[in-house]
Amino acid sequence: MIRVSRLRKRFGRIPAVEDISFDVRPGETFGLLGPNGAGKTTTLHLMLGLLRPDAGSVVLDGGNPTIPAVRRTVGAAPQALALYDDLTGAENLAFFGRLQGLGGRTLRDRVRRALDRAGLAGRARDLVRDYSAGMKRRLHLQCALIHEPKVLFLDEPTVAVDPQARHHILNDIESLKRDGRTIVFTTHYMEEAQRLCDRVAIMDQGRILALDTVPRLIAEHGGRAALRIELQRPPDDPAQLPGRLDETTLLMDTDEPFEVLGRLASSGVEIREFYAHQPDLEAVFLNLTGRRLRD
Amino acid sequence: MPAVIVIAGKSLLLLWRDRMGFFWWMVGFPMLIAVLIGTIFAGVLEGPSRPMTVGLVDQARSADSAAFIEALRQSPGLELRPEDAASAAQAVRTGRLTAYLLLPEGFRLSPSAFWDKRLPVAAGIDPARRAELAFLEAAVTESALRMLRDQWADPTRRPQMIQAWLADLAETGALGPTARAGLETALGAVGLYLTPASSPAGATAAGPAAPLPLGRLQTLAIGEAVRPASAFEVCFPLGMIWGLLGLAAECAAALAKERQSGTLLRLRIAPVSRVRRVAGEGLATFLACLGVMSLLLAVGTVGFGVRLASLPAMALACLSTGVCFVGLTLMLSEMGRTELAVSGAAWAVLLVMAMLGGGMVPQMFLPEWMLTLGAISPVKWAILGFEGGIWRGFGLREMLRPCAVLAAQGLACGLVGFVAASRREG
Repeated sequence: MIRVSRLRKRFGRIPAVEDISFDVRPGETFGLLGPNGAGKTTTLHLMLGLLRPDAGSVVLDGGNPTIPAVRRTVGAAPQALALYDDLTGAENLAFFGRLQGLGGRTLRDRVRRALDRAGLAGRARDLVRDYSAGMKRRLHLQCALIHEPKVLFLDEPTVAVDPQARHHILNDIESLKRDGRTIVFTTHYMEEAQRLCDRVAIMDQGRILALDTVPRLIAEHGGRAALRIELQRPPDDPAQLPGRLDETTLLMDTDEPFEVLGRLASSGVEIREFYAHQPDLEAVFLNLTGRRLRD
Repeated sequence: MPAVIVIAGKSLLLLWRDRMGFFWWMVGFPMLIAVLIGTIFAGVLEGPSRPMTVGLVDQARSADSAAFIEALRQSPGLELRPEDAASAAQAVRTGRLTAYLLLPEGFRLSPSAFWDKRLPVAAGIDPARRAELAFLEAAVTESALRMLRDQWADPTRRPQMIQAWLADLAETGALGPTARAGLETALGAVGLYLTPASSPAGATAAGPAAPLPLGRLQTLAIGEAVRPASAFEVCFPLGMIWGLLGLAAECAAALAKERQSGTLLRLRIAPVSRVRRVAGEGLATFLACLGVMSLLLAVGTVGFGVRLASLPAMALACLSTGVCFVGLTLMLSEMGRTELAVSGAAWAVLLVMAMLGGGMVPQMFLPEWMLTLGAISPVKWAILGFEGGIWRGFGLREMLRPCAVLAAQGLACGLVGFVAASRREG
């Protein structure tokens, strides 16, 4: 669906994207995960043909993304809200629909459906300036979908929204994913990438550090699970216990946390409570860069 | 629906939604400008020009001074207001009077006054008002000559005039000995000739009256249309210009806002070329320009008696001005990164343009250098075009120059704006 080959972009002396290559398959949800300034948005803009690459190429649905026919297959929701505050929700949707060549009954139906999906049917005639931040984000997403594109690009779709609106937006994306739409989105929230993405490219300083499915990334770069067990009382023979004992707290890193717990229980160790922290994409990023995602 | 129309419709709707801004900057404020300036200049522009009001201080209080004052009163350019010296000086200092004339004690007028180039009249006036001083000198000279002519025409006074003249010549050192002797001889002979005893029988003794030495200019008919019928015909074009300036600043700021928010990105992602996108924004600005001009013109025509000397010429002026302001708006929108920066920069540029182009005061009151420099300002050409259609009675041929300049300026500015936008978008 999308082929990115040896893409490179600099802004003056600052390298924004350094020689990145990847493919996005039809129907796949592909995430670009990285901290602010990693080059995610620049990559997205290069893929959309909004920026001209210094080197490399992007092929989108078999063509150059700057060609209008190719752009018709694409929907995008930029990071900044792309809405006109002094138009109503329905007028915003209709305007972006008309730009995509829609009109007449088709446009009216699409606008109505989009308002329903955004939960804004009752506020269709209100000016967008009177919407809450969450309502604006939902409408923003629907504007990108009004022409039912094959590929959807979302740049930080849940930035600056409350948890409820975030939940709503993530549900919307999951629903689009179920419909088989190809989705490329950027985020610096590893939970979102973990929840939504079939594959994730972890980016830092303009480079892709790792690219794979979430389980494989974790297995390869996440390290071992951290296990913390609180014992009822100190054991008679601490040397027989795995890990490090601090009074009644047992700490260890292991690939098999639940097997370890089972073995301890069967050997007569009384366990009051335990915490098993499975590795995640945060751990992957930490292991790859030595920094946290939000550093 | 073509994308150009869709984008233009959106921009016009957004402009309309900001009704307060639209009505104040594009209609209310320009109309206020037109009406206020029109009222201020109404006295200057409407009907025949008013005479200059001048204070008159008669310290001589003699028959001569009374005769001179009577001659002065006949001058159509002067309106005399009797004052004492102190109040006249105060009135001039505080601006209530343009000037005052003082006839000193012992005032006496004889032809010799023209010999030593000093009339026995003083003028109290701000030295910077040179044009008014020159006008006063001309009016006083004319009155003095009129008075002398009237005295000369009276045969009983003529000998006294000659005696007084000879007496003055005896006192003055203005003439060389040879010229003075010659003149004394000639005047003596005229005096002898004109005394009643030496007059031939039957002669009226009045002699030929001296011709009025100050020549009158013959006035040529130049047609009614070259003069505005009212100050509003001059000031409504100014109002229209202010409406367009407000519109250009507003539209430039709206384009910057579009850039600042994500909507421009969404437009760029849409299957619409940059040329069509810019054409859409340009079309909206153009239509808004025409709307503002038409609205103000309609108010001027219906409410303030502004006439349209030539509808085709006015239409041409409006179209070319619209093109010019579209280009200007595109250029101004690239003069800053944020909406605030663009708005500030746009007003700074537009105010300078208005000042140079005669948008702040009518061009007929601007100094020569400003008129020359103003050629770079679209405001000058737009006003000329509007005036051509309203009261100058320009034909289409005469309209070509201002309209061509406006269109060329618009295209140049538009090109600069388009290139800057293309570079920014990469």
